[in-house]
Amino acid sequence: MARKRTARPPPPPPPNPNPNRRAVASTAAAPAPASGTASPSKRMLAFHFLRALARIHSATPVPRRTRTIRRAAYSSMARAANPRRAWTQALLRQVRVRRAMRSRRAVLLRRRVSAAPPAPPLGAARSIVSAAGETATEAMTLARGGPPPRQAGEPARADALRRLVPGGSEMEYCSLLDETADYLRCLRAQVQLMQNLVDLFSGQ
Amino acid sequence: MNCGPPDQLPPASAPSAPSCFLNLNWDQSMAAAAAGDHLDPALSSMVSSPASNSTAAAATDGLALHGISPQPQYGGTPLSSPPKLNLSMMGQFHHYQPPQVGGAGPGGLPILENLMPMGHLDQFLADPGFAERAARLSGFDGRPGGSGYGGAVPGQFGLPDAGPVGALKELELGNGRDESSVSDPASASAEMALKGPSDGNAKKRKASGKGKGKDGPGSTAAKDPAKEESSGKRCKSADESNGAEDNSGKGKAAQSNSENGGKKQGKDTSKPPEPPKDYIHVRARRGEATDSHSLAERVRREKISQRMKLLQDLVPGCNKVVGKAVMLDEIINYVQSLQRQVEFLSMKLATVNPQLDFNNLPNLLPKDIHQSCGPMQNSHFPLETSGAPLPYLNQSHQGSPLGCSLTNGMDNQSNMHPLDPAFCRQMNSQHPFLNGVSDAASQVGTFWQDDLQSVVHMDIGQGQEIAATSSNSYNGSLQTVHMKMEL
Repeated sequence: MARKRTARPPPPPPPNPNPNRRAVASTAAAPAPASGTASPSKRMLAFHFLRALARIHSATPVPRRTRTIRRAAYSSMARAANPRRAWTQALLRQVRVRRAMRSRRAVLLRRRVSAAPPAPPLGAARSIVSAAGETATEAMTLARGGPPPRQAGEPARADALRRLVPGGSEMEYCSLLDETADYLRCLRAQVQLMQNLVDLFSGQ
Repeated sequence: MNCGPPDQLPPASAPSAPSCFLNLNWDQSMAAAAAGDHLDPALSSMVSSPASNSTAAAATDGLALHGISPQPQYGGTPLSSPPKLNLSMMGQFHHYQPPQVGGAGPGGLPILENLMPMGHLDQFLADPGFAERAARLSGFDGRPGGSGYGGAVPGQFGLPDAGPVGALKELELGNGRDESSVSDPASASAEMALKGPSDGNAKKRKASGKGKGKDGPGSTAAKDPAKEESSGKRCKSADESNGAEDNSGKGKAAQSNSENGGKKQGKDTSKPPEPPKDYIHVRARRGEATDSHSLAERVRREKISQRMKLLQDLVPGCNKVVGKAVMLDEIINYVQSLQRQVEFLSMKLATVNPQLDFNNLPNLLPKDIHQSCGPMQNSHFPLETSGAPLPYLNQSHQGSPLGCSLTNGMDNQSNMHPLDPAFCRQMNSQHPFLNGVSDAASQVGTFWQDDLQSVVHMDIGQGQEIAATSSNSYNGSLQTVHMKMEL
């Protein structure tokens, strides 16, 4: 689906962000762009997220719904953001793999349950599915020649950052920092959006 | 305003990259140079010479940007002590370690923070050699051995914004001469400062020109005056685009143009047009090894530091932090906290949603919107059936007021009107939606299209996708609603 991003003029030097998030951003239509690439448009974020929210079946129990909403948040954030970003692609890939895993697991379970007495434990099915899922990710990793070797100037904490940022394990340190910046921007916008939503829902 | 008295400058803390560099060295030097009365006049002249933007002064203005210090006059000790030449006028580049400027002159060039109205010259390090060059450039024929600041300083440090630009241009044009080599870095730096953060790369490189060893790679080879000229060519890192390279011919021939990549934001258009280069031209800084590995390393380090700077702007409260390790920790903590917040908010959303029910729906809307929606809602709500769709409806319904509040504030009063029926309609279609039943009424589709378009400028396809799912049960009043939903 084509997504049009509102063009932004080159942003002025960004003021250092103080945590003063305004609940209702009347200016959200024209959010102040962050340094370098702008953060995703609030409209885009809102649209994707709300659409994802709308698809959630209301009958799901709360804990499961939490996970679903969280997944929806990340997916919508990834969709709303620049699709050329590494973290975006990694995130969407992650979601896709997980969905494939789940569907595969469901299929396997159903097959096992229906075909034979449920002798094979669920664990087997899960292991199969997870193996499938993991091999997918592994394949991706291997295709890249594995994570890049530890770079010289890279501090020790960098691997923690790699774990946090989606797709960070295969990047070089330099691009990791870049992706982190973009990821932070989007994440912050997403959190603001969700906070607004919560306020709206609960405030009334 | 510009160069206030030294006490105004933030206290110079540890030699390790204080966040506001200017201050440090200047402080020290100022303190040390208490006796340096000669400095005061220089300072005052610097301070008071915003107007002195004569072309001659302009040249030095660029240099002034870099915090040319009238070191020579001090007999060097106080100034030599701070080897850190921190250019970060704006105190943004704390990660940058002061170069070890060994050698002849008095140490670094303290940077007068106030001298930088234009933004940050980050990492512009001046070294005595540079000072000398600057002096030379300014036309004050300094004494040998890089001492020529005394005369050069006064009247040259005022930095009105326009001044340095002119200076830069001047400097750029004067490529062929020795001074040009000096001026280039100055001009480049000044230019960089003018350009603000956009030219982080270029700035870095320029700044590096002054024998800075960010990670201390460079042995600060003691420069002897004889080498200063050669170092001049070194200084110019990012800007070869000017005939800077010509200058490299003199002295050291180790022109380190080994980098590939073509990344450089060099000077601006004022420079004579240069043939497009595909490589990253990097100059070996003074006192640094010139082999390709170290150059690549340096470029990489600069890139990393630039990115860290960007990150620092993003993460709140990182200004005071100095050093890459601590910054990295801060960044990690921030990312973790944001992710935790997403988790927490999603949990909240999950619990909040089921509580919404139809009856409260009108109450959930902003009041002004509610009014217009009221009559519509009454007629449409009876159509709703089960409780199951309710949350769904609520969600979607909330979307529009939310969207409104999120984006357009109260502008959508009239536009909210159609939203209710639209969402009610959608609610009805929840199950078909979930089951993948699509084929909605075309009206609905169109309606939804319009809304979507207005909302997010998305293409129609997406709108139809959602609209298609809406059931056809709702026909009646929908047609009356032709509104652009502003989300």
